[in-house]
Amino acid sequence: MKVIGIRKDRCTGCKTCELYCAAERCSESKTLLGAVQEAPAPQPRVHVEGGPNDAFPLQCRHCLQAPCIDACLTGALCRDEASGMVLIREDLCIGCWTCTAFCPYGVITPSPERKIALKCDRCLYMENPVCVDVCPTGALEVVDLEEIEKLLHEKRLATAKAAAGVPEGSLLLLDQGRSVKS
Amino acid sequence: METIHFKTVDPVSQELLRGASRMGLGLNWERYEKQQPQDGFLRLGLSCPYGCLQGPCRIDPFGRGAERGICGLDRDGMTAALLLRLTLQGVLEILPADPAGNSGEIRWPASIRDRAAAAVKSLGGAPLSSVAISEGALLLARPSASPERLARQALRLALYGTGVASQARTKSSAGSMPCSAGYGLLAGEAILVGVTGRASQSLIESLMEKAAALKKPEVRLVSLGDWIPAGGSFLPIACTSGEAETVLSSGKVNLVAAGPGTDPGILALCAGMKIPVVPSAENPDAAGILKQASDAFDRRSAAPFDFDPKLVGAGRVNLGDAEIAAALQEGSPAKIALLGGTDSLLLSLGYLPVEMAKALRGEDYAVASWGDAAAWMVKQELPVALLEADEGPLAAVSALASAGKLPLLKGICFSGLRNCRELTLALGLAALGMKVSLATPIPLWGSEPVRTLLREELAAMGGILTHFDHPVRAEELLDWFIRS
Repeated sequence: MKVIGIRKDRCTGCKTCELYCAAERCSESKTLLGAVQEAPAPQPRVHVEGGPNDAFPLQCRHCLQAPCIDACLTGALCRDEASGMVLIREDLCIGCWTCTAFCPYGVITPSPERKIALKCDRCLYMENPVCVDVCPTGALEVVDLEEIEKLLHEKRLATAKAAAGVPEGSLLLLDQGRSVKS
Repeated sequence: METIHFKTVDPVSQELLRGASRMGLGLNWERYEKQQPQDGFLRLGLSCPYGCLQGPCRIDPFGRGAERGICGLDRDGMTAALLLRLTLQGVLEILPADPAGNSGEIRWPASIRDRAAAAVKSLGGAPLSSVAISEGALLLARPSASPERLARQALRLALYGTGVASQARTKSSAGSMPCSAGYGLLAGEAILVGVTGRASQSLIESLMEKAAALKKPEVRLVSLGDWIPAGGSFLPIACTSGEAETVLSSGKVNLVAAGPGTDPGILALCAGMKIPVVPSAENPDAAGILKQASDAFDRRSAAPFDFDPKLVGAGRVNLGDAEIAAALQEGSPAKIALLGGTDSLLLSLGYLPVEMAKALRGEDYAVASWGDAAAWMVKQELPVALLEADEGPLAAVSALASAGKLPLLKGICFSGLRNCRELTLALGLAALGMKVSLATPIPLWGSEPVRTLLREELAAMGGILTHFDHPVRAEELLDWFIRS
């Protein structure tokens, strides 16, 4: 499954992703200068969170065990078989917003004007997610979960090996695979 | 490359762009694409232009983030202040054109004095002088003035800048000068010296004099997009400013004489392609420059891109009021349109000036042009009047007003804005009661109240400034002219 990955060290919190997500995915005009004149104001599906030193863009993580799907009263939230994404069927959504209460990341937002919930669908029907395309620092990118899993597996293995080689009574620095004698 | 036809309408430019891509040369188009999308907050005017350095503050355009800056300034204040800052910069760019006459009250040409007086009255009645500059600067010191005050000061400054530019006009009785433009100027075996920026007049004339004596190979001086007077004519224009890097990528130009105002991208490209660059403002040694060019010609690559010598158009730039008025009245057209300005990469290069001029001619409009747009029209040898690039529409307005033909003027369109000077002139002309349009967006879209303020203030003076929230389409602009 492909998801949007974030390079936290590259995010400057510029909110370009927010602006262009709102313009592309929620406006009639599809341009920023046109979108800002529309009412109701277009809403982005990605939100820049964090403070000045740890800003990062957050959007739907498409959880493998998604609480929003379980919470949805009408079955509007469902998992797309082909892509693995958690999607909203807008025709079934009744705007009860139960999902917004259950989302552990707070990335499903109510749209009171349209009486539906809004969430990132990774711009599934476009070549690339708009936030990925517009990010000026390349902090956002589309990554394959399987590849991430491979990376994580290698990291786990390296950590396990480092842990196995640590003499008893030493402190293991997990990130660096080093040990310090206490 | 698959979108190459969106970049320029010129087939030779398209071929050059393909060649540059094959050679791995990064031109202005590549930099443009890497800039997309441009900073949304700046494009909307929602980045605070005050220099307090507490921020940078910016307003979320969709109303879910910051509504005010740290000092409490709202989106309307930011947008209006940005307009004032741009206009102030524009006036400062205009001032050197008239070093002697900028301190006192503006002496408007008799033909537009009444319009100027009405505009000044509409803006409060205080006479326009250089005090407007310090007033504007003071307003931008701290964000305490209302958007209304800022927008009105921007209009006062625009009017002042336009007045300074119009009283600095020195060529109102200077006749006309021949010009030529097109890629054909680069054809054949010749040492080619490209001139960019505001090159020194004395050096250009000295270069021309020395080059005239050299044969086999001959030496040609060509402008890379600027309208540079040289003797009794303009330096032949090889390309428009938007195409300068494209032309350099052909490998035909042997040396670049770069005056102040040359883009850094041109200098970097020359460095990458080992094209010698001499700063024209401070280099009086014409013989030395030509020697460098000749050496570079001897070292040239075996097969640079060659151009068709037939691709040259010729025209005459009308400088005097009488010549401009006569050119605009040739064939007794019912209406007059001014369409000129700089190339903008937001639009396919050449499309707007060429197609619009043809369409307007078809609708019985006389067309006058200046800047890059005029160069495009010369390349095509379209039957239009040509105006001096710096004076632009101001010369035509002044000439038409003198001839009592101003009611025939249906609109002034800037195909692109190169600097704040042009924005200031556009605002100033609208304040004088003209109908002006800008083909590329300006950063006012973050605040509807400021746009409304500007529209209403201009309407009170009888003028219109039309600007779009997208790069304008030719049919929209044609409609704008025709509905006048």
